[in-house]
Amino acid sequence: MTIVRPLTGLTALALALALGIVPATRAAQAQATPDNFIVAVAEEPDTLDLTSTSHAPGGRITLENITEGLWRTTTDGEVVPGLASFEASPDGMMITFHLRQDVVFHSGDPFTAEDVVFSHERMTERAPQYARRARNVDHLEIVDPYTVRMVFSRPDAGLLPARGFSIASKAYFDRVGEEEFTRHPVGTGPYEFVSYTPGSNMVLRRFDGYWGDAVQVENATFRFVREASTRLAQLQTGEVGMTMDVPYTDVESLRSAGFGLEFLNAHPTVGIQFQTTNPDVPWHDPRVRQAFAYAIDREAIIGGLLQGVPAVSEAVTEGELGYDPALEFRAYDPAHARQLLADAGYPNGFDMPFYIWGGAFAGLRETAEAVVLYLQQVGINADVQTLEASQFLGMLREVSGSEDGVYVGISAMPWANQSDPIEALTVAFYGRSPFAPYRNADVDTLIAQANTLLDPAERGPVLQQIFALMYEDAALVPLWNFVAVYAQAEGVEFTPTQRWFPVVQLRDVSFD
Amino acid sequence: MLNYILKRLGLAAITIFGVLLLIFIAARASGDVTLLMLPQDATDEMIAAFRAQHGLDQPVIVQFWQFLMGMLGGDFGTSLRYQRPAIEVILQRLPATLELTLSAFGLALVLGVTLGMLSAYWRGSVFDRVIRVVAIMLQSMPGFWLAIMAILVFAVTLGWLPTSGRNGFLSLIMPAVTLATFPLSGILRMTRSSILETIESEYVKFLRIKGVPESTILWRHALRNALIPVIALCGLQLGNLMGGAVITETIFNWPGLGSLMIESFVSRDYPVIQVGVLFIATMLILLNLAVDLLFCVVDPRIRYA
Repeated sequence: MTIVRPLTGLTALALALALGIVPATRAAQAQATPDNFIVAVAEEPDTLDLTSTSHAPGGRITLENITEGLWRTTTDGEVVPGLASFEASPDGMMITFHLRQDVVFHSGDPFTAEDVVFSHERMTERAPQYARRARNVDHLEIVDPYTVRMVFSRPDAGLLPARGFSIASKAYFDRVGEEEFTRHPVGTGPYEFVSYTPGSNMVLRRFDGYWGDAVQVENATFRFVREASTRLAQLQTGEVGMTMDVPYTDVESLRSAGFGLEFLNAHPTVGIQFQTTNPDVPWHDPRVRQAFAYAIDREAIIGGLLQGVPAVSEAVTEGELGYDPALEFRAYDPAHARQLLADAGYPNGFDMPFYIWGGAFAGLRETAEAVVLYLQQVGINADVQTLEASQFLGMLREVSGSEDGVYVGISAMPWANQSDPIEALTVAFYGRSPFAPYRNADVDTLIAQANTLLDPAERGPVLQQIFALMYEDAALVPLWNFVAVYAQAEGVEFTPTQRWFPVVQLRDVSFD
Repeated sequence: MLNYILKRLGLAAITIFGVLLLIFIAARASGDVTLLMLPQDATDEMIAAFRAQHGLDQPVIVQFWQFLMGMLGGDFGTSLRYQRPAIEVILQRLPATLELTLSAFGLALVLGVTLGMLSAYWRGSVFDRVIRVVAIMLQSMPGFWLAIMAILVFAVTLGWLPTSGRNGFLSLIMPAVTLATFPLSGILRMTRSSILETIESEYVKFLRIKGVPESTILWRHALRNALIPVIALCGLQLGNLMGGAVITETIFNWPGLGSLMIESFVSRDYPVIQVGVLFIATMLILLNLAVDLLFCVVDPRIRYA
């Protein structure tokens, strides 16, 4: 009988929990001190060396604390000098970087022009994301040890606001060789690398020789925790001082338990995309695409399925370059949607294939299910086909490359809340991009033009024209813009750096 | 005996070959890794270059042949995601998985057999009934649910154990116990019914008539015979355990092979998937062989020719 007693105890406990007798959360501050700050993040870097990362931005979440770029974006999304100040030539064919002279790497090596050229060449060869982004950079020239020129083959306004160009030390590489270089990363950032345990954690320590502003966190550990409920449990027990990627469903309970929450408007936008060049499909007609926007109650989807956390906008949001308040939101109006369909010659609606990017993003599948029901109400019958990521990307390439592709689908793409919209437009809406099923010759001309205008003041009005055309065309029916949610233990202040992808910059952390 | 072992090892090699071929083709048929690794707007030239660099431009059967040949020479391929030798990525994670699965298995075996025996010994008692109900409950609960509940109760509410991670003995308790529940209940129920069956057999009746004490019958005679189906079940449960570890490791953030395999499947890291499957398959086959050989020890009548 002795075995029975603890079991009944457990049952009683479970019952008590279910009835809410035992409080399910308690805030703790154990791991939220400058001396020992632990953060739970979902993504683990593919490599510790940012100059040879093959992967999308996962590694930057942690590694940007170690490795810096020549420029950086601020919490407000502004592009500002980092390791160098810079100026562009009037024709946009050259950017001259004046390097800071007071910067040393964690290895003790001074930062010079050689490191810039070395990093650029290494990334062009080994980091495909950067290689693609820097496609218009012809070469780099060393003018003197602290001056570098970046010479373009054609002007590219998207380079600066977009992806980071990470600076590594050539002297360190020459001294220790490839293996040690990638296993023990050395940068110029406010934190230096201490250790990394694959599948588990990475430990960093404040770098006392840092050139920039003082930072508060002294010792930090990033824990790699894939499962969202486990990350939250770690925050609730006080095992970590902060976590990122909080599911929208948990926002309210964390708020009421007293945890601090920060929201970052970020990439991507979940929306409905169309292949527009095929004249034989109903959605070739812009009125049909507009009807999609009116037929779906996007605000109800956000409120009901996503706890009201994300927002939706027809184009870029207020404060972004190219924002135009005149582009009115197409609010839910099924009668108007039916009218538009009738005007386009489809009074009884139509049947269509509907491709879903399965597993691309939390909330995407639920959104798609709701969208299908809304479309049904105006007579559009969607035959849902959920494709796994690589199949979906493969199909998108196929329909983007053909004039008569048949494609309507929900995916996650760059749109609002980028550092600058020019990058999103070039990747996802420019006719020559293999990722853009939408075609409009006028939009293409304007995107090409905007890419030559390095001055934001000149580029802004062109971007506005582009968004006006695309709005009329209903090139995209945006459903919601992703919002990254961070949660912190009591006493921790965090203002996330405004980036198109969410990261954890320890410099953004302070304590009460 | 030696002949038997050699024959089984030969069969194992064929099985592993089949498993590898299957996973090799299945991983590639489920989607093209190139598009996941390159920028969304990668040019056709970038794609062609990536495929050529990793040999993905060859027919699958040629790729398989090259993989086999490389393997024989000790080269298991390079992880596409981590850009390091796949075998190195796997070996880093292997100790954690061994620690977890072996602890869970040991726990399931010891508790399962002991409780099963006691349950049979006191058949019909309150103890027996409670144990049977609990066993069925544990077997019916999905492992991931049990894991999340365990975290909620023992880490978040009571604060007795760490929520997750691999950091000393305390952090092993929850993952090992939740992973053990399913095989434990199976072993428990099998032990109980097998012992009950044996106790009813003619030879036990004869022992009783001879006046052999009940405890001697149980420990010296019944248990030994009753264990044969239990051992067979253990072999099967090892497979379940490896499968369960994938989910348990993910929830408890246990840095083992299971969580690595999930990541590798998501990012279509073929070389890591292949080597991981090779390791798991080999381990299971060898463990099952060990289980079969155990039969001889337990039951001298079994002889492998």
